Amino acid sequence: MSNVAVIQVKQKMRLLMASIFVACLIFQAGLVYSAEFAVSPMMIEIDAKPDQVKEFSFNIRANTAGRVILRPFDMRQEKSGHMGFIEADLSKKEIAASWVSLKRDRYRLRKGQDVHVTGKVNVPRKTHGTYLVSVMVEEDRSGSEETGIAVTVRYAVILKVNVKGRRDRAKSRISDIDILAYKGKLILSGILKNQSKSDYWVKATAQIRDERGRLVEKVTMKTQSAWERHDPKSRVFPGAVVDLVGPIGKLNKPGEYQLLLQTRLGKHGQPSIRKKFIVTKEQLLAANVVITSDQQMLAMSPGKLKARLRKNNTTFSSFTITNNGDEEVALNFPQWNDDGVINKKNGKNEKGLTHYEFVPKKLVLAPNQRHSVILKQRFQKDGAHTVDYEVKYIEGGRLEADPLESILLVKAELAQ
Amino acid sequence: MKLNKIIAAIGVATALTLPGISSAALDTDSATVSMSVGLYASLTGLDNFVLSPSSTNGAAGSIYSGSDTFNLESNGQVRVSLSGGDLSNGSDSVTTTYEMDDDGVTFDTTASSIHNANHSVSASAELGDISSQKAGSYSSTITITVSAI
Repeated sequence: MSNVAVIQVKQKMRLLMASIFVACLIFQAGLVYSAEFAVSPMMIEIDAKPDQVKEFSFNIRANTAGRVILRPFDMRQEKSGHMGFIEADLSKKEIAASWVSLKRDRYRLRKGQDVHVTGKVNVPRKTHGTYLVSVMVEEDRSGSEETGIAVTVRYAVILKVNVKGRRDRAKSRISDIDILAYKGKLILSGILKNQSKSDYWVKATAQIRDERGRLVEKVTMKTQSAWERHDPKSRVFPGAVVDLVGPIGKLNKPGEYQLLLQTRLGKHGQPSIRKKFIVTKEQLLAANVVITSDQQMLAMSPGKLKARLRKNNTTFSSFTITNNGDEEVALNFPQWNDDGVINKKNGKNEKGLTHYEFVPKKLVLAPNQRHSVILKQRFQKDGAHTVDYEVKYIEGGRLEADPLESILLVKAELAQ
Repeated sequence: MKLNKIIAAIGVATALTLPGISSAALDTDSATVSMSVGLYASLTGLDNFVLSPSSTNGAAGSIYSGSDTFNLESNGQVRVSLSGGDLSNGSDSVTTTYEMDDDGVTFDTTASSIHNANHSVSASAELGDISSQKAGSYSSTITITVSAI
C-alpha cells in the first residue's frame, strides 16, 4: 500500500473513532427522570442551652415516587457571603453537624406521599453562640448507572442553633481597605472578620472626603451575597471572613482622599477606621471614570450667551455666575487689550471685534452666592462673529501663598 | 290565659330592652389567632440531559452542548446553586462548563416574595485533540442545591 493510501486510511480511522465518541455522547446517554420532592420548612431556628437535647422536624412531599437520603452537612460562610455546604467528618464533636441525629435517614416514597422527618440536636456541654448545620435531602441514586449529564437536586434544610451561654461581645476586625478599579468600575473594598460567637447583620458605611475635607461620597459596603439578594445589610456568621464591597460613583478627580469607615454589628458599634488614599488618574481611567475639572464648581446661566447684534454693530448680553463650591471664588474678567479672547486660528484677537467690556471687571463670590455680569461687544461692519472668552478665577485662594488658577470659558454666540 | 301571655311578652320585651341585659351579650372575650408558615421550596421538571455537537462533529475543539428547564416554586426567598465536574469515562475527561439561566451558577429569588418560574440549566463540553480522549461513554453529575441562605 502506498504512503498516501496509508495516510488516507489513518485519517479515516481517526474520523471513525471521533464519530464513535460522538455517538456515545449522544446516543448512549438516555433520558433518566429524577424523583421530585418538596421540602418545608427550609430554615429552622433552635434556641438551646449547653448540654441540652432539642428536637426538630420538617416535611418531605414526594411529587414523584423515589428514594430519599438525608445527611447532615457542615456549613461555612464563603468570602462572598454565600453559604457553602461541606460533607463533614461526623466523628469530630467540635463540628456542629455531628450534633444532629435523625430518627431515619432513608425513605422510599410513593407519589404524593408526605413524610414527617424528626431529629435531635445534642448540644455539647461547653458551647455557646450560633451554629449552622444543614440536613441535606436528596434522591438516593446509588446503584444506578448513568451516562451523560446526571442531575441531582437536593434541598438544604438549615438548622440555626442559638446556644445561650455567657455573654458574648460583638467584635469584628476590618482590614485591607482599598479603592480599586474592578470590572470597569471604581469600588471600595475591605475584608471583615466576625470575631464573635453570634451572627450579626453588619452595616458598613464609608465617608470619602477630599484633601480639603469636603465630603465627596458616602459608600455602603456589603457582601456580594447581600448585594445579589438586595439585603440592606450583610449577614455574617461567627468566625466568617467576608469581602465587603461598595461602588464609588462620585469620585472623579485624582488626588489624596481621606476615608472614615463606620461599622455596626447589629446594635453594636465597632471602632471607626480612618485611612488616607491616593487615587491616580490611571485608576480612574481603568474604572471608566470621566475625570472632571474645576469648572464644575462655577455654574453659568445661560451656559452659552446669545449675543444679539444691534443696528450699531454692538451686542449687549447678561448672564449669572453661581459659586456651587464651599469656598470663596475670586474672578478676573478679561479686559480689552489683554489676552482674554480666544482665537482658534492664530491666538490673537480676531478681526471684526473692535472692543469688549465685562461689567464688573472683578468679582468675589462667597459659597452659594450668585451675581449677574454684563458683556458689551462692538464689531466692525459685517465683522460680527462668535467670540470665546477666558475668565480666570481662584478658588479660596486670595489668602493662599500660591493659589491655583482655573479658567471659566464664556462663549458669546452671535445671534442674528 | 290570654292576659297571662300578654304580661309574659311585656316582661320579656322589658328584660331585653333594659341596659346591660341582652341575649347576645352574656360574655365576651378576644383571642389572637396566629400562624407561622414555614419556608417551602420545590424544584420540578429537571431530568438528565444529553450533549449534542454544535460545531463540526468530532474535530479537535468541537463544542457539545445541552440544556434542560425546571420549575422552581417557593413561598419565600431561596438560593439555588449548581456545582458539577467534567465529563469523564474514568480515565479521560472533557472540560465541561455549566450555567443556570445563562448567567452563572447561582441565583437568588426575589426577597420577601413568592416564586414560581421556569429556569434553565445548560452544559457545554469542549473536545481536546482527537487523541486526547478515548471513544466511549462519558458522564458527569451536577448537583443543584436549594437553600434558604
